[in-house]
Amino acid sequence: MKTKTLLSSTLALGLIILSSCATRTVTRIDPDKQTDVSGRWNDTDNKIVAEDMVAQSIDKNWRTEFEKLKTRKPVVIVGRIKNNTSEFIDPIAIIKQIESAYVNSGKVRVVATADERKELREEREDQQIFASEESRKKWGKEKGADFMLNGVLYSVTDEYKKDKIVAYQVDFELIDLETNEKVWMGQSKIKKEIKN
Amino acid sequence: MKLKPLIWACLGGSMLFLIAACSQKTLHQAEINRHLYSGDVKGAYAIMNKNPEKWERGKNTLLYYLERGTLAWMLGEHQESKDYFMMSDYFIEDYYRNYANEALALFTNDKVKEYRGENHERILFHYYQMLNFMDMGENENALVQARRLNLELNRLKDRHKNNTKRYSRDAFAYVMIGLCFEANGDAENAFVAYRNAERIYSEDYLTNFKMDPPSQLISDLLRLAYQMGYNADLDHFQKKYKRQYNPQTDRGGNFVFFWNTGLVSIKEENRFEFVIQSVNGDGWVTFYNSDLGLSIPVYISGSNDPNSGFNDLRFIAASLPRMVGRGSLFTSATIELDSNAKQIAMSLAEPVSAIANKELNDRFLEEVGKMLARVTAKKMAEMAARKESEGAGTIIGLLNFFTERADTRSWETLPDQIFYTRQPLSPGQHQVKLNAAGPQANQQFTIPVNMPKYGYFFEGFHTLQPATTGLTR
Repeated sequence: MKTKTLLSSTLALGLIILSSCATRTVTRIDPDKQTDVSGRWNDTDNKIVAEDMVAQSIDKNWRTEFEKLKTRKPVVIVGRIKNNTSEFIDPIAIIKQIESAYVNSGKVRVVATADERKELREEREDQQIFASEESRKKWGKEKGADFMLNGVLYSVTDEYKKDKIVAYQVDFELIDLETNEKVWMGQSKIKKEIKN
Repeated sequence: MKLKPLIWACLGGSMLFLIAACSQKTLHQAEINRHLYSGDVKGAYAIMNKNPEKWERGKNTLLYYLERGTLAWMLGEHQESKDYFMMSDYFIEDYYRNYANEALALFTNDKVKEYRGENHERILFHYYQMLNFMDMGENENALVQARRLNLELNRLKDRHKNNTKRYSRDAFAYVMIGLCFEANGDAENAFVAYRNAERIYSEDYLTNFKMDPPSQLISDLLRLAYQMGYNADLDHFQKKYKRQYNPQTDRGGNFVFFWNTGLVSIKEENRFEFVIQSVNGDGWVTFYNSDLGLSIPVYISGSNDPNSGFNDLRFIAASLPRMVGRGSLFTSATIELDSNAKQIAMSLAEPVSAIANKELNDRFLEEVGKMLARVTAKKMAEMAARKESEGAGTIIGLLNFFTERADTRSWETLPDQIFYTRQPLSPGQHQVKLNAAGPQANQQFTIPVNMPKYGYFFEGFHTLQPATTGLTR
């Protein structure tokens, strides 16, 4: 009997050791699928926030009144999204999602951000020397933005032992570049429960 | 009854497995240390670069990240250091118990468990990471790191909720958080962090490590209290520290300099013999060691079963980790900025070795209890097997001999102590002189500093020389 016990415990021990040697598999998945592995901020959150923000802001007074007054679509620049959370979040990824949601709505025009403009101007400068005259792009034709969108991303973490809840909030403001008036303000929230 | 060949094969096989699992050397730390004792950081770093994949998949993944991050930081490779500390950060955040390892540790020792880091280690890597970010001009990320550190401090507090005598609060962490808030223009939160730091220094650090709050911290508290018009706080701290704040002479400081000195205490294996003093019928057994003056009751499952082999035991010999100090050759320092030859004293902010010692002492009884239960269970299995067959008993005895090891892993490239100071410094190139002094030696080090046009700059420097000579690991 004892021999049997000894044998089974030895085998169990062997299994325990072997169980820690797992192999890695990789599978391609739908990029639109909501995925959560670590619980940290990820591409799904970028998408949710950007789409929510654009849906909230697009049909509000600031745009309809602007169109009535100027008889054209407003031009928006996506400015800065400040990261006030306790996670490393790349604001560029959110900015790109917002730009793409605005452009795809067909109701707003979007111009390049400050960093992109710098690069574009260098390229245009280059064209003045190296490009043929008919293809050369002119200076002073840039489209100036009417509104600037800024945002601040906050997070509050509540955790104890293995339970963790993270509440994210992004506050957006759309500001009239001529008058500094805040023409629209909105909020997007995400709350996550992370269990280990 | 004779054991069948299959059983022998199983026993032999598991023994090989277990020996392999337990003999995994802790990252060639002894070799890394030998290079560091002679000041050869590059040589130490080269060792980390040998087969990195092997280390990253082992039980010492976190240790590998921490040590590599620190050595890269010492060499000024901030991007690489940042990457490794970020991996440490996510590793610590994501780690949840690997039950297979926990079960294995019951049979063998703690060393086969994934290394999760001591509490102070989980705090201090944030310090290096903030220095990396500030050095790379990523102030906003340094602030994100500060918020992450704040979460870790909350976890530490939660772990030791009912025991304020343990290392459950870290004052230096709040100093770092405060500095990052200030560097990002948030004086309000900086003041709150400094005030927390002052409280912990004057309560925990004074009691446990006999040290006062850093003089630099008091200066910062007074200045911010004055700037924000917190007159009650200004009065309180002026009275408490017998200092008068003078806004005319105080200019704050955008250059924050950290000095790491020496190397942190390391763990060594120590063998103890415990006599079985008394046996209670309900499974509780009292063990006694005269060197430690310790009498400790431990619940030993099966100790009241006459067939368990327990009755044949008289004493238990086992290994426990013990701290060995390496200290620092230099124990105080001043800095000279090239613009004026004034000597500015550095304030002690974090007694790292003392904290590491405290952490191990705090849980010594816990470690002893765990170890006694484990070793006794293994001895009982050996005795029971011997009764059945001498051969099986010998194999289990050998298995026990090879697997019983104290867990001596720790982040060994940490300094013995951390000092800091801050001063105003104009943009551009500077040669900052660090005058390090100790009972046996004095030495001047020149550190080039490139101050940015605007804002703050954090610089750190590590003098590695330990106080003890002839260290073997």
